[in-house]
Amino acid sequence: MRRYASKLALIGLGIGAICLFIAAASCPGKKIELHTMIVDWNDATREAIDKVIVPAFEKENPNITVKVEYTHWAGYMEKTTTAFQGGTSPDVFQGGAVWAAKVGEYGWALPLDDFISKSPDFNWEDFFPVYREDCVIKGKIVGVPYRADVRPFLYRESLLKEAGVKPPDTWEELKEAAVKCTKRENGKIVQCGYNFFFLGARGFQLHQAFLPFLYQGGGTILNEEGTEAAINGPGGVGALELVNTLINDLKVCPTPVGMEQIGGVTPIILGKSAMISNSYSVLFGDMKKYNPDQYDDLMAKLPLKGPVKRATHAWVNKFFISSQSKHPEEGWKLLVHFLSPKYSEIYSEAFVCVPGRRSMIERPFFKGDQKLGVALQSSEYAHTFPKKPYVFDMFKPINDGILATLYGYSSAQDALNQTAREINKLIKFHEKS
Amino acid sequence: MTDQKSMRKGVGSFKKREAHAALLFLVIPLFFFSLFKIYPMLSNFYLSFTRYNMVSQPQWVGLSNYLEALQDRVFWAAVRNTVVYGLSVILVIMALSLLVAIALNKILPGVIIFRSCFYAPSVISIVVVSMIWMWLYQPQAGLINYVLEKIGFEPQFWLDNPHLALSSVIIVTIWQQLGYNMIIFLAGLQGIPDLLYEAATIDGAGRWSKFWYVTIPSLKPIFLFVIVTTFIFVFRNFPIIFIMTEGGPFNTTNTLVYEVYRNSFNYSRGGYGAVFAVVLLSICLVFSLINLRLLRSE
Repeated sequence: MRRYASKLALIGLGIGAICLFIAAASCPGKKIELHTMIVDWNDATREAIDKVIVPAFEKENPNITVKVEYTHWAGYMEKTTTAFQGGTSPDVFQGGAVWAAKVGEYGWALPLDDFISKSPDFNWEDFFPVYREDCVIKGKIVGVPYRADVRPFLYRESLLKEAGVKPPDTWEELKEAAVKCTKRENGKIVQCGYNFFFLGARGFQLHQAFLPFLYQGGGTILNEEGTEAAINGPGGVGALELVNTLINDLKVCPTPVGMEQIGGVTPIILGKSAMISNSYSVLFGDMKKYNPDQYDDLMAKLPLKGPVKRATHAWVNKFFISSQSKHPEEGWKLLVHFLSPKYSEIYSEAFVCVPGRRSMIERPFFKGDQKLGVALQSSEYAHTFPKKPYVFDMFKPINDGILATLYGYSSAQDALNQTAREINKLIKFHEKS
Repeated sequence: MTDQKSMRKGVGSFKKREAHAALLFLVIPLFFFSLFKIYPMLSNFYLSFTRYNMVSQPQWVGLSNYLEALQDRVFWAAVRNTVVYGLSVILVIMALSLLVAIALNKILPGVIIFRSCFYAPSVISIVVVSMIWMWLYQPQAGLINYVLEKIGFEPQFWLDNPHLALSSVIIVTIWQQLGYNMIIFLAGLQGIPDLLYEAATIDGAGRWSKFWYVTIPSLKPIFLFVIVTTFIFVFRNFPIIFIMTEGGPFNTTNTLVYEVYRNSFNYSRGGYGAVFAVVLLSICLVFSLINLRLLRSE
């Protein structure tokens, strides 16, 4: 009996400990842990989130602990897909411009309409209309914009002054200014008049450089109903012909698509390009980092006015609340806090980016920074991607169409006709399933 | 006779016990092999007959994915590029590794340093190799174009020119794999008995005859090994394509393994991506069977 007494005592203690643990875990009033995934960050943003935004939220909500996981865009969609499949998705997560349609279609994101209607302080109407619309999938608001990578027209003031030109506003002015700003040494372009794209011809992002011109020419990727490709219309062809003229006829940047980044730094930052309109807002941050003395020389203006309209493209990144979250109310509280003007400004200042709210133009940070202020204003002219879960699939045919023209394999019309055929095949495949 | 019978019985039951013991030892590795190799392979094969968006349940569609692949120019580009990439690397690697191994199979001062220099790239992470070469190939600031310009040649768009991109990737792969295969050939060369060369000398064989009639035949198993391992590496090679070219420009560096990734994870078309994996597996199987046949005939 004695032999077993100590063993029985140990077992009893173990059971007791388990019971205590379960009791503690199910105790009302225990802290709620909100798992939050952040993908748009740099060192400064991380510090802002960890030391200012989250602590302020936790102070206002002492029963909530925010556990932030920082990740990177590379592999993020795969990671998220796996997490949702495994039922381990974060409560709140950031997602890219093309994510809303996918997360909405798959039911990953919780519809936020009720939350928004019950939170007048959130002021949904304060967000730019095009960004609000970008969050609506099948009639439901599935996300809220925290950052818009909108593309104003950027130029180096000193380089334009040196060439004796003023910042262009139309396609004709662009051609003229780009030719005058192009410099060569031994036949090699050492300064682009206008740099079309800076990531080479091989990646999947080439379409981004083309989209502002597409919209300026009155073109779109899909028709209004979203049932058919429309990129091969007059707007698309005109835009692609302009790009071809700039690169192959006027030679304002190196073929095939422009001057590449050098050491990960975009040429306009190094003074090797006078103008660009495919710019990420991270360029502003890069300018501060790599060429801070010249920061004020990098100027922004509203997007170009094409034959049809003034327009540009915007990637709208959004926050989502997971449909698997056990704490959606708390998740919503976090979003309201994060996207309030005060903390949105802190995040935008740290990341040097453009938020989704219109009223932010009055905030000191945007009033004080010419580039970001203009970028925010450019949101009025922004167009976003078609809201299809498979929009990602469309990038390749668009890129191939652009390259076919720039390499001289086919005319702009033929190239975009082929692009349209491929996109229509995609639509047929996906709408069938 | 009784003794022989009982001895045979004893040996038989010993062999049976040995077999049982072997099976027991094999159960665990077989379980993991089935779980991580056989099951995924069979799942992939099943998925290739379904429409699967990586989220919802797969829907059976029969041969529809295969029929689509047959009409898809991207599929044929991937098949063509994979075969060209594979064959080019294998042929060049075999010749170059053997030549370097022969050159370094001498006892000369500093030969160990040379061997280490040639071997070094194969121990560097393939991701690092890809990034280094992206820098070298950079059109405006890359070292290769800098040297070309200095000696009076036109700088090239190594990764952006559809006619050069695949060759550029092949060069990187060869550079990375050369050292490893050189070591294999070196070991093979050092395993050839000197007696054979002496006999050949006595018979009046010159250098070239010795190479052709002694060295090459003696290295046949090594050749087969190098072909198989290089083949497996090249056909499965994803990082170089993913980092350097993403299959572009214009599908000129698109390979079957990259299309598996792109269709499954970028486009959420898991069923269609599985087709590329099945085709890749089939090519590898055929190639391996041919090699096994050749090895057996040796």
